[in-house]
Amino acid sequence: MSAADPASILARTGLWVADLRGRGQITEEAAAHLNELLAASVGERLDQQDDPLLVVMLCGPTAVGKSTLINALAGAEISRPGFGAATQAAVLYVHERDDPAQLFAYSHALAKSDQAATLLVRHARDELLHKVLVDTPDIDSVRLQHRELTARLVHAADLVLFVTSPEKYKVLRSARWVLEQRGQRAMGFVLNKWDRAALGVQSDRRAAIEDDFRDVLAREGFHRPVVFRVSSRPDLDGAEADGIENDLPALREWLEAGITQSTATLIRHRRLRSAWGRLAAGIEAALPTPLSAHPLLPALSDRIARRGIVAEHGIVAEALLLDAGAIEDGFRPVTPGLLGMWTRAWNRIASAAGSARAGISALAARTALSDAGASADRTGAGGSGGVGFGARHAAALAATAEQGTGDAAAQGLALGPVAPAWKTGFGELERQLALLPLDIAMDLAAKANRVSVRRIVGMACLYGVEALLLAVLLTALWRAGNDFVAGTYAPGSLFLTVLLLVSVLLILGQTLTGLFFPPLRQRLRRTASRLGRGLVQDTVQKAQAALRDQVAAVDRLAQDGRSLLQDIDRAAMALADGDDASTLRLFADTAPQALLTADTAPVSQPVAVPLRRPVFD
Amino acid sequence: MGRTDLVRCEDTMALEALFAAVVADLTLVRDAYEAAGLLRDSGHGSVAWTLFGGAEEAERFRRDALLADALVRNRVARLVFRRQGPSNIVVFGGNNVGKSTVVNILAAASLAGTSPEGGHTRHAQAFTADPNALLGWNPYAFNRFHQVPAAELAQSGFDAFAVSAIASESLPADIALWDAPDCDSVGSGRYLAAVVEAATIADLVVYVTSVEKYAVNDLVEWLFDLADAGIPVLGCLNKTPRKDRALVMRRHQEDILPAVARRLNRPPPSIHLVALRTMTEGEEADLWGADHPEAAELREAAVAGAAPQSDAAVARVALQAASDRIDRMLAPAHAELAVRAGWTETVGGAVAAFVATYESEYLTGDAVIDPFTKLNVQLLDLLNPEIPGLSEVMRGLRKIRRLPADLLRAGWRLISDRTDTVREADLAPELRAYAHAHRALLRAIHDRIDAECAMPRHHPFWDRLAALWQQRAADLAEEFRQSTERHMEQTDAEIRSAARDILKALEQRPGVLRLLRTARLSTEMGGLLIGFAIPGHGHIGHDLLDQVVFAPLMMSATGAAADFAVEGYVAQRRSQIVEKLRAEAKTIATTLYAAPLHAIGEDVFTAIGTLGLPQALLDRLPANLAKLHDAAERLA
Repeated sequence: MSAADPASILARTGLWVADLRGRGQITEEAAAHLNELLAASVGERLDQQDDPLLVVMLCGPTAVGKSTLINALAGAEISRPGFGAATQAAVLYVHERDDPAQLFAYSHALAKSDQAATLLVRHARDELLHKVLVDTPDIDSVRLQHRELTARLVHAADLVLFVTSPEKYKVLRSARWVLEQRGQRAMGFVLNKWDRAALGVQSDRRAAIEDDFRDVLAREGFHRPVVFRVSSRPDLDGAEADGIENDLPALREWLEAGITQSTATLIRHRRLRSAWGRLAAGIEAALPTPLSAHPLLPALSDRIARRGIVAEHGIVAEALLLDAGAIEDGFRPVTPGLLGMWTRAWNRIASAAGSARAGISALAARTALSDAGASADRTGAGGSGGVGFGARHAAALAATAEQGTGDAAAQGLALGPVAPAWKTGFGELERQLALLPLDIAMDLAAKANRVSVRRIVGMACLYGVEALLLAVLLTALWRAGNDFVAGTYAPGSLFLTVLLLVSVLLILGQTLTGLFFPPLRQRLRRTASRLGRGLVQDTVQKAQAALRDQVAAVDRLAQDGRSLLQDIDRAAMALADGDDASTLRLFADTAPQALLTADTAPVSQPVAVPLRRPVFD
Repeated sequence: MGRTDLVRCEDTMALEALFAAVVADLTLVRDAYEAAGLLRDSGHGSVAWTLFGGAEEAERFRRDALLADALVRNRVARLVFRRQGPSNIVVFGGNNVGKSTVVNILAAASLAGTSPEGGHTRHAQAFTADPNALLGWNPYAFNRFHQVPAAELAQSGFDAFAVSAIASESLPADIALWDAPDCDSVGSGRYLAAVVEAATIADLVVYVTSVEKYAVNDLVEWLFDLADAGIPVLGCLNKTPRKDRALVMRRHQEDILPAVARRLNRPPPSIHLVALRTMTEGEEADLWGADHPEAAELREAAVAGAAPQSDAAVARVALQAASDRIDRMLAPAHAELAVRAGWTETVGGAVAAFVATYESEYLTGDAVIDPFTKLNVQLLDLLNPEIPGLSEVMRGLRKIRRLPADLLRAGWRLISDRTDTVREADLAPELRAYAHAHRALLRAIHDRIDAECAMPRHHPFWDRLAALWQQRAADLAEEFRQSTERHMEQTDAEIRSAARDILKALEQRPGVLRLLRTARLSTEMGGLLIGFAIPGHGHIGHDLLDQVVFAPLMMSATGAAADFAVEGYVAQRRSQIVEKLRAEAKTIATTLYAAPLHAIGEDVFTAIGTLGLPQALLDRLPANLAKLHDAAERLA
């Protein structure tokens, strides 16, 4: 049940939105909007459903007497009235046993530094226990910061007492403000300044004003509005003045006794339900569609895989053609003697051949480059010469990935962090591949120089062959001299025998060298092919995994969003649901008429009131 | 001296023409805006709302647009027409502040109907001694309104106004009093044009305010607009208890006006405030009586303030104010044109990207040989000797011979290709190029729409388009497929006919032709023979040979021979084919994409409503205003 706990729902929603943005499923703007909604939901105190406080907020345009009214209700000057736009911050009228600490956490978090501090006034009137009266700055004056502050404060309000006056009840901006708040929280209306001094010459026609005000409210969706005609002038002290009705006592009575604790709960729960509804609507609008069913997904994954296989083959082929000139057979030991001479000569021939080959390939590369100048910049990698090992394949992979990303974007498959992951992955692959041959060569060289049993045995064998050669030559010399002296000199057969023996020994030496000091070139190519292939496989697998991860994450987000909605439903259901007629009146349930929009037809003319004035000519 | 007069006369005539042109253009703009509902509706979701990103901005636009138009017609007109008739004192203010009462006080007579309900006055109504002389000097004044008798005013639409004759003892005869509707009540959007019209004809605006209204932001901003337009303003503090008056007046001057001035970054207007007495029930008779000296004070200040000003000075200030607002007034029209241009550019760019991708991938890419390979294959086919039945026999034999290989290949395909999707690599190069081009086009358009929609303030066009685009893209893919198939068939036919033509050209060189034919026949027959002669694997051997050696060799040989034999002709045919393919791609791009995409754009425009103002007008209007400004300076 803790998952459906309101505070945890809000926390989870925050995480959900952050994750959604990280996964590229909503735009920055939508995320900002959702976060704002979430912050407003915190401002609605959704996480404190059992908080017994009923916040009654006095809102309205400038100079209609909100502060005077709260003073009249409190029976003391708790908010200093002025001549319009005088109240700069909220004034709270709280019972001393109530704790309003959490009330404006939201608006304070948003407050600018220049904002005046909220004023807290404690009282001990038990009839107002659990009911917090709040005076707010105006909503229409030249001090725009007042308007912004009230817009933030109002989230905490359970019941808005919209204060206006006979002069201002029909102003467009007020109507727009009421339209914004209607349905979100309970609203009562106060026609303040309902006294002879303020009504002036219109005192006798005040019934028409009240009817017109009710008409405006009806067009805003309040067909049975709670309207109090109040004069909160301190000198009248709540009494009727000159026969003009004053609902101030009624208003006070309504606030103190009319709104019982159960009514207050109904009002508060209704507001909470509405706030949950707004949050749920926001979440629902941002709910991502699961990616796993997207038609492009298999094709995308397939494309990458295929390109990966092609790249693997290409890497293998390129490894076979790898120019291993740098790592020649110089690691073969050169022994002093005939075998050594032979090896040196062999090496020299091999290096000459190598440099000639390099020169030819360089020439070929240059011509290829000048031929394919146009195609070089198109593929981005140029010809075979001068480009790092495997660069073309890595570039092709990156291009495939980029194209895939573009296609996905065009077909509504939001890849989010996958695209940059692919980009860096294939870029990394290119760098790794380019360094691969050199790394392997160095590794091989280091290995080849290491003292090992094989190497020692090889050296011994080579020196053995060298010794045998020396022995053969010495023997031949000795035989030649001996025979010459003995007179049995047969140069032909001796020469042939020596030549045969030397050749056999040289071939033996060569074979032994090959056996104990195998050519590194081959090993380099094999290793490069194996490692390069492994790298490509790894990268492609990582790319696929990133895609799978994104799909899984988005599916999970969709799932989470739905479970959030369910939890919100549950949380809203847990709230008391039983509007009685008296609370229903406080919420506008019917849709507003086209009040702010214009129609070109003339509206019906108000009934002409007989003028009580002298007539001139 | 006569010469100067002549020049001046010519100048004046040019000025009149210029002014008439400006007014005509402004009328066009305003007609368009009215038709599109830009000046009427600023509610949530309306065109103005999305275009300006909120009701506040939409209303600011409406105020500026109305002001610019009315200022030109009613005040700049004084450059051209000589101001005559009585001076206009217009009573202006917020809802329910007592404007009509102030009218009555000024006239010292009960003229205007007052009501405790706000928004009682919905039409502009003038009271003057000689109604005929009132607006006669300026044919453009109130040109969007029609005059009705005062008694019918209440039943008339919002485009009506009335002028009543009065004979007041207190008011000089050369003063006309105007009662204007309010500018801030619920539903005031319907008659805001009348308010602006009345305010701009004023020689003096009496701004009525009260303790409840003087700090209201919307009203104070109006004050700044009036001051900006060079309309003299006299303040009148109504409905304020005597004890509060001094404080309210001081705060208005020292606090409210400077605060708004700082925010708007404009100089604060200096406004003289005259306080009226707060009247209670039963005092109405004294409104303008001897016991009410404030009424006389207000009247005197108003009459003094309404003294005629120099025509040129008034016109110059008004012209400046109108010029300052003209850009904002034309913003929606500019936005629409920009959107149109943007969409055309997007479509053009996307179509160009299509053609470019097709060209780079197919015509000039690695596969450039493809059409020519096809050409050579066709040539080879045509080279077969025309012996009746021979080709059928050959084909049959070849089929039999290749049966095992075909079976093997089919089996392999069955194993390797379990998925139904067509592999891209298996597509013909041309189709692949087309697919890539199609994708490039979709992407170009999608990227643009996405980028535009992501802007915080954007034309509603893009929102609608984004919605429409999702469904249209799918349709386009299908149309694209059909069209490319058709195109491929046409291309094949074209290549076939080219091959036939080249062969015909080759016939001029019978030797070469005979040689080619012989070679063709001998390889074919030889292949067949090998296939049957070596039992077991002969056919596979020949297949390999045929595919790897013979066929390319024959093809290049044919191509080379054709090149060699009829060089110019083949080159010409080849370039013709490439040209034709390129042209075809362009045609496909335009018929398949450009036209439907433009149609989509038009659909969206019809759905959201267009203004249809041409660029020329938008360029001309500010330029003409500037010219008017120069002319005014010269005349001064």
